[in-house]
Amino acid sequence: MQLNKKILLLFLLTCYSFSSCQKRGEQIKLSQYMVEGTTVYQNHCANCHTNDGTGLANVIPPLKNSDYLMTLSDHDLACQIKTGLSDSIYVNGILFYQQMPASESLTYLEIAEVVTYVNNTWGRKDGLYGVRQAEKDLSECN
Amino acid sequence: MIRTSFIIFIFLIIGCTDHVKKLPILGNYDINTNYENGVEKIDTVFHYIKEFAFVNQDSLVVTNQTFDDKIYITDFFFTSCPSICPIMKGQMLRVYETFQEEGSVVFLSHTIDPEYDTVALLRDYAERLGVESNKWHFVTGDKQAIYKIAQLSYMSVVADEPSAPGGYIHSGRFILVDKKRHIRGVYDGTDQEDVNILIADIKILLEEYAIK
Repeated sequence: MQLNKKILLLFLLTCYSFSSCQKRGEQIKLSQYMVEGTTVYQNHCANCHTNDGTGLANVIPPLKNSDYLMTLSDHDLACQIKTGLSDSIYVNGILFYQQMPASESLTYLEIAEVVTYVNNTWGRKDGLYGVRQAEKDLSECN
Repeated sequence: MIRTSFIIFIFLIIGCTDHVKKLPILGNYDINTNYENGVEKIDTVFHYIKEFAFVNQDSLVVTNQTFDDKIYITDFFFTSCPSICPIMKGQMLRVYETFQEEGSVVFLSHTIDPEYDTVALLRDYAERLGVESNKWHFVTGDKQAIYKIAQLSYMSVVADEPSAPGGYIHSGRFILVDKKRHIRGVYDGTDQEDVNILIADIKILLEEYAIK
């Protein structure tokens, strides 16, 4: 009985250290994604949506405080980045019809990074949007 | 003590000297030499903006006369441009807002894609930017005429280039033109710092007219 307790304690400790390690690993990965995502954003998105995500008046829609973006799924966001957007959309009650160009040259990883960047920067959601998820989502774009 | 007062004196003289900064007149110029009654007269002809006539977002004809007694800032863009245009327009909007109350400062944006950018589209674009059409003209017209005035008068590069994003290459330049159609400054419209210099230069140019 005594031995069992010890084993249990050891087991719990191991579990704890593993999970905290995993958590730290996730944190590091998230930081990496954010750094890379910033670069991808600046090179491929910021020309129009601007560095601070405010867009351009009623010409280019904002990413910051955008009701449209908040309701968009990660899957759809990833797909729109890759294949562009030619439909008109309403953002905060304003109709935008300017076509968003496709970025077919972006890799799965780059899209995962930039989605992570957009999610965490403009309050869509916290955390990582991983490359595996991106690959799966991007294989199912319309 | 004497030395200190001397230094202060020197500073006062420098401080009082009237050194109003003046912007240069840019571009090539010709020097015409004439003889009048045997006296040599040298006349410098500066580079100036040639005659033009385009149509703005209100379907009104815009010519050099539209800018009589105005200084204006001009650029070349197209509404469907996915590369540098939104940055340029954001920066131009900043200049516009700075001089919104200054009646003698106006803006002129030429489309380099007149086939796509109709008057109606330019009107919509201007409205979306939230700017007044008598203060900021968005003009369209004959493509060759637009390209020609860009290259020869405003010294800006525009060209068709199918491989470029959006199908055109163009410089993101802002050009500052004075009341006598002379170019007084050229700025990178995609660079915030350079646009700050433009804003400062417009003030210098306004000052030049104010003291005349």
